[in-house]
Amino acid sequence: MESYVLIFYFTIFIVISSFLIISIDNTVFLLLILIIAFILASFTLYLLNCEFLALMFLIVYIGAIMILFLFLLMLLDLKFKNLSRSLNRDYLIGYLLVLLIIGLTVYQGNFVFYNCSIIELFNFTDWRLLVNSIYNINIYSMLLFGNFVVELLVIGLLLLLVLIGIILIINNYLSLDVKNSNSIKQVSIRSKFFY
Amino acid sequence: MIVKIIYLNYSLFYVEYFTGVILMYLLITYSLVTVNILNILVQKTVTDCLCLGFLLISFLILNEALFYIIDINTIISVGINLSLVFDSLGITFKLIITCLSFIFFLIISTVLIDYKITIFELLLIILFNILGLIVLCSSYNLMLVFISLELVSFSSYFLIGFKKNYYYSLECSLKYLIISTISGSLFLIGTLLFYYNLGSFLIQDINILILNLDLIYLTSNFLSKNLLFKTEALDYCLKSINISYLFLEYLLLNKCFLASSRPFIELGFSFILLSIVIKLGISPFHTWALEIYEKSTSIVVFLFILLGKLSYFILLFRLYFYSFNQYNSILGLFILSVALLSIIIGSFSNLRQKQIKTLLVYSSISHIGYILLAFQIKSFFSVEVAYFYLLNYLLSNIIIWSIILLLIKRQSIYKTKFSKTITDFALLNKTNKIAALGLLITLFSIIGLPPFIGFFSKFGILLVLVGEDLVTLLLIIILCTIISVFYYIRVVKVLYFENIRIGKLYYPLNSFNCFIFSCSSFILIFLFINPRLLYLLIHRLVLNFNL
Repeated sequence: MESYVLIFYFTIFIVISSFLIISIDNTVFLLLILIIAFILASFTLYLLNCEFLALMFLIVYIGAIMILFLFLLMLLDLKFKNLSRSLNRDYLIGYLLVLLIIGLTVYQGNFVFYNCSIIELFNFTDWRLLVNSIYNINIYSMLLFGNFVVELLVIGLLLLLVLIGIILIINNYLSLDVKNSNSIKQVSIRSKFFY
Repeated sequence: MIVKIIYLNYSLFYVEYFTGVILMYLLITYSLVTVNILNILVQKTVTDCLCLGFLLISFLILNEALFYIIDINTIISVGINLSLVFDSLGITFKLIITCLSFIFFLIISTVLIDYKITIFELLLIILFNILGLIVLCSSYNLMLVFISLELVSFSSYFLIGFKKNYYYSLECSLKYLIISTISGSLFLIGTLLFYYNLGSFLIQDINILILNLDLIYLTSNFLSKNLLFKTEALDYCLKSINISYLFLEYLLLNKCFLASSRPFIELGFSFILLSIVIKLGISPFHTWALEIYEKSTSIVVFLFILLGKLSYFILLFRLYFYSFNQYNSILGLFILSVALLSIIIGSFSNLRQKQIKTLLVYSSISHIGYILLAFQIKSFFSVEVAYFYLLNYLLSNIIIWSIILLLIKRQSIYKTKFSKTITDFALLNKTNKIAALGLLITLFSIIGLPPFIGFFSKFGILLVLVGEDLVTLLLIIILCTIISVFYYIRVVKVLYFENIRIGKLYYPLNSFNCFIFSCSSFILIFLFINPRLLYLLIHRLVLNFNL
């Protein structure tokens, strides 16, 4: 573990951004703040020695899920203005106080950086940890394909189930244009009997 | 207990492997076949093939796997991870599941066309459900338990919400989604607390920890300052919790004590128990079951009531007896109170029910309450009695649901009406004597009258309660059974003695399906005379207890 101060710094901004998300009116700003939160989360993960997961966050969360949200906003034209009118920005201090109290009860360690100098706070590196040559992805593969093979296979079955089932459930499975053609009319009458 | 590790022995994998193979084969061929042909031409043959598949799998288990486990004190696992485990408990339950799914597909093959369901994905998703239940039977790792629970839940979401011409299907699917995600997250919190204390997800590690409780170095957790031994526990309980006289009796007799140095294990176990109780649909968490089972198709409700509850008992058994073996805790009180409440609610709420499905759902709630009552008294005979009651409940459910599914009213040449209320069976005696007789036999068996097997199962549970000196509980349960007699006999009255001139007109029944329920109703009488058939199976099942 290299430096706790950077991790602390990033996590503070994640918390600030998560509070901003629930209090801002403009929807595009919300997406931007969410992207910032994910980037900061990937930075903290990198500092915690999980480099693979950090990159996965960037690719999956920002590269796929946020693009999905962007398309959602583009196509559906959602307006959150009426929602945030009920949320008063004065309640932010209340949220912060609650977090502080809960944090004090949960955190059972020391609040003091003891046994280190100011120079060590910013420049300390544990060279023993860098001798190791196992990376994050090696550990994932060892666990997934060694200790948890059966779980991996069953998760694959679960994914297959979801692929089949989602298409079963969505509406307008047979979205035929009934007005225009005769043969489709006949087919649609028959299919009404089955569905 | 000892877990033996065996390499290259695939005979124990048969059930999971073959159901997986059937599923994949069905997916590939079905999707290729139904491009040009309508599904209705192939559906019956496909369901019959599924019947055959499950029959052969159950035959295989009977011949091969049941007798493979010679040494009862060991559990067999394959490979380096101990996630999948094969003991007599899991394999007998897999036998039960495959036999029941065989019967299920047998009944379904003619009913699907009557209900005008020709979606081929339905059979696939039912297969996924069954596969999830089978994997849950043999899972020893809490992660695998969670994943198989997710398999079962996901398939249930799709099964509830597939009917597109019915407005409420998607709504009920979403409601069930919310409830099962809540229960899944509670389960995950429980596993997290297990992992926090033990460092692994295996169920056996808890047993190792608890066996060596004396050797644990007491850390400075805030609870360990109040070390609670047997004598102090009662004072603590009486001061902190408001207990009525009924539960005081329980505490005095069972001498419960709380954990000393590892308090979070009990909390974790309580979260897992809570998630199981929510999923089973027991009161006080039963409200989702009523609405969702009323508004889904009868075929799907049949599947849920028959097969959906089975594997949770295996999970409870493993957690209770493999891990918390010598550990009397206050969670037994939780199970007891939940069971008692569900019996009371199941009996009393059913008095005004005229809808068949809610009637059967309430009765299943009370049955599961009886099973849990016998279960939490952790003796060998009580667990046997619980499983005996479970098997009897399954058998009687097969008969009732097959009759309900098969009897479809005919109003005109093109109009059909599916049975929703009790009055749809009015004067069944005049139209179809054998169906009425079958229904009569099963209802009397559920009540607990002597010439049928239900008598022994109910009697066993009451006997077990007497053995534990829980007399007030016994009184309450006897009163509830007497009250429940009313609504079962009301159905009999509607079948035989309804005060109308003519009965209802039904479509003609398939003779093979009639054969199923008439045979089953005779089995109920036969098992009263000779219950050894079920008893041997259950004895084999429960022998892994108290290793």
